[in-house]
Amino acid sequence: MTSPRKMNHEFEDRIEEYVEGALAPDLAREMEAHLEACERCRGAVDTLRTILDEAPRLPRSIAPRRDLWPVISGRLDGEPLELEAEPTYRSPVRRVYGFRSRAAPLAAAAVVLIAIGVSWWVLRQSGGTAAPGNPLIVTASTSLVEEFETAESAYIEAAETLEASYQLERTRLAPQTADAIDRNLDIIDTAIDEVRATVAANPRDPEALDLLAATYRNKVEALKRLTRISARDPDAPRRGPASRPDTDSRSPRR
Amino acid sequence: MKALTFLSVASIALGFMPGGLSAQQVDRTLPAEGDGSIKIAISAGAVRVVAWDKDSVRVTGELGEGMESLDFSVRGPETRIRVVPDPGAGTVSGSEIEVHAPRRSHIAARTAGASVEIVDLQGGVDVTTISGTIRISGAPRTVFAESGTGDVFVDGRSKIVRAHSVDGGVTLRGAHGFVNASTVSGDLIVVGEELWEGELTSVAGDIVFEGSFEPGAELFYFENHSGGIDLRLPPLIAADFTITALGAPVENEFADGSERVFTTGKGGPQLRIKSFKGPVRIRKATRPSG
Amino acid sequence: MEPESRASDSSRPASGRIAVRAVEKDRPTVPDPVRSAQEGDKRAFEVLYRENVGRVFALCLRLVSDERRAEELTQDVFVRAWERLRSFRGEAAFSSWLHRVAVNVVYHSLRADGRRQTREARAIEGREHPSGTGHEFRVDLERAIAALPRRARLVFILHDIEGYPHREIADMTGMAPGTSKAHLHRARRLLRETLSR
Repeated sequence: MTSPRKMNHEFEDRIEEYVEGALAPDLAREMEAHLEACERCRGAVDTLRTILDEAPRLPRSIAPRRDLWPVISGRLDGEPLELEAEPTYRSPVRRVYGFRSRAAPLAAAAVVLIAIGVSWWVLRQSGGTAAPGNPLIVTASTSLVEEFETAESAYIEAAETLEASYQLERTRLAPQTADAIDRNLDIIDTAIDEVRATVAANPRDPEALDLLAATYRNKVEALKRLTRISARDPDAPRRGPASRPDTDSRSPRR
Repeated sequence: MKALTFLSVASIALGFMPGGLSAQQVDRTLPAEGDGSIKIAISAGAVRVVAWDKDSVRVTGELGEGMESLDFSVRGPETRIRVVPDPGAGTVSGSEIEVHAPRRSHIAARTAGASVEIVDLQGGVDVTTISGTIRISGAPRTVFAESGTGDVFVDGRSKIVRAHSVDGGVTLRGAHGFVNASTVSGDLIVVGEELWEGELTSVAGDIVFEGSFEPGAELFYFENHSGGIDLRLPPLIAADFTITALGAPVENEFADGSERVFTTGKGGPQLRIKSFKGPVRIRKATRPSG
Repeated sequence: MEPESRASDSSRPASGRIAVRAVEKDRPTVPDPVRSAQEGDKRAFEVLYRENVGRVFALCLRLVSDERRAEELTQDVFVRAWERLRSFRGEAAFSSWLHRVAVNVVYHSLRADGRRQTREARAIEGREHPSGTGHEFRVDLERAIAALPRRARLVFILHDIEGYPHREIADMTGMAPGTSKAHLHRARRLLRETLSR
């Protein structure tokens, strides 16, 4: 496939204006003459037209899968949020409060872990607090550490929920598949233990917190993926729990 | 292709022999829209989907032992292909299926242990498998490939690629836009050009990346724990680097080895590299990538 | 630009779900839920939520490409709207005002995150696009939008899907109109390259 960039750049740059009818008449005529001869530019014009035709037809309203009102209603009674008044790294953390109902601990954990990663990055960009004697080392603020602890408990809850879902599906996997997956979950847990040990030794080291957040995130993502992959195919006829769909493949893996 | 709408509902069930007796050969063709979707479900064996320039879908191959039938139906823009197991069968073996599909079809395949190969399709491709290997070649518009323990190979100039494996490796060649790929213990190899945003993560596998970035590219993450991160970048790259490397050794050809936050050229995409203890190497590519 | 102003437009009678029969002639015959909500009536606010949640959720979902995250942001938008409700003067339809609150909340959240979300981009496809002509293209278009760099994605969604002009996008996000145009140009080019056949 040849890159569209290899089109005549002069004409390619005008495609958008042409499609929007914003080209001066003489340039538009020139463009049309070019389009007669250039299949690639014609294709580009067609694609852009289709995009601009279809974009406004995408659904403008999509119902969430669950009713969000109970959580919102609960939050209306609480303290007002002051999103804009807060430092940027604080606002995402607040969202965890919305999940006191345990409606979506995973989402809460993911958001907080993201926030931790950002906090560290923001800290680093802004110089952070230099450790005495070493301008390269920045330390995390007390609030960042506290946020991390909040994130950590949300993560643990999320991981437990996901792990329980995965364990339900695990019985359907072939023994060698289940073993391989367990081995990988062990690898992630070992990684978490190693980074945790570093954090325990340097509880205010933002690099360590950031890496721990990243490792937690890996586990949550891996568990999400495993739960999805091993979930029962919705179209499949119901079979006994001992049914192992991935056994006896004729194509041995790898 | 719309001329075929009078045939828009067609359904054929093949194979009425009791499962488990012997393998069944199949060879059926149904008319289908040129850019419809094809949903494939097969538990064990292998499925290969090859693009062709006809407005029809052809399924050939052999059903495995213990398989009851092949459900193959076209309803409007949607084609379904499913190898149906016999619930009473004792021994089962894998089926070998080849599907010829209109080039612009959207393919969604779900397998347990079956390997999946997709060749030359231009629509979107979605493959999810528990333990099968996934191979995708050509230039699908978008790729989503996810395996629990199998390897994932994508070789083609797709603009959007998401590829994940937990126990297997992931290899992407020709990545060309947005890339999101991960492994836990397998190696993650990405060769691409004109990338605009990406995220490559592993825990214990090595990450090897060789690529160039689109002007205006934004964010790229490379994260690992004990596996290495080996980046081979254009020698004159303009980018903003941030390296988080606790106990990881860092070898850097773009800045002093101790530099953790630095800019090359006028700056550009943010490249955020994180490693706990796996070695980080940031090197100048010896040949221009792309 | 705002085709679904409908009943929540403060100048028009509201849907009757919480309508209270008016007693005095000089007051509106049907108090609209916006006014009731402004006075602290949560049931009225629930009506506004039910009328508007789909549109807010769709916007959040496209902007973050993550269903869980979109749910959280949708909650944030309505909490924020509740706090800001007194500042709504009825110059525009309530749905338009709410939409701007949504853009503002999501945009600030994207900036604060600075971190990628894991973009599955499968959230919208399939369930929201009925089969038929152009179905596959729309599914691919949703995916391609989800994969755009974040600012290009934001501007494309606001301009080409939601129909805001650059000046309004600039007002809502604080970026210069020229920057908004540049992002749109880039988004369209990337989409065109992604979707070219």
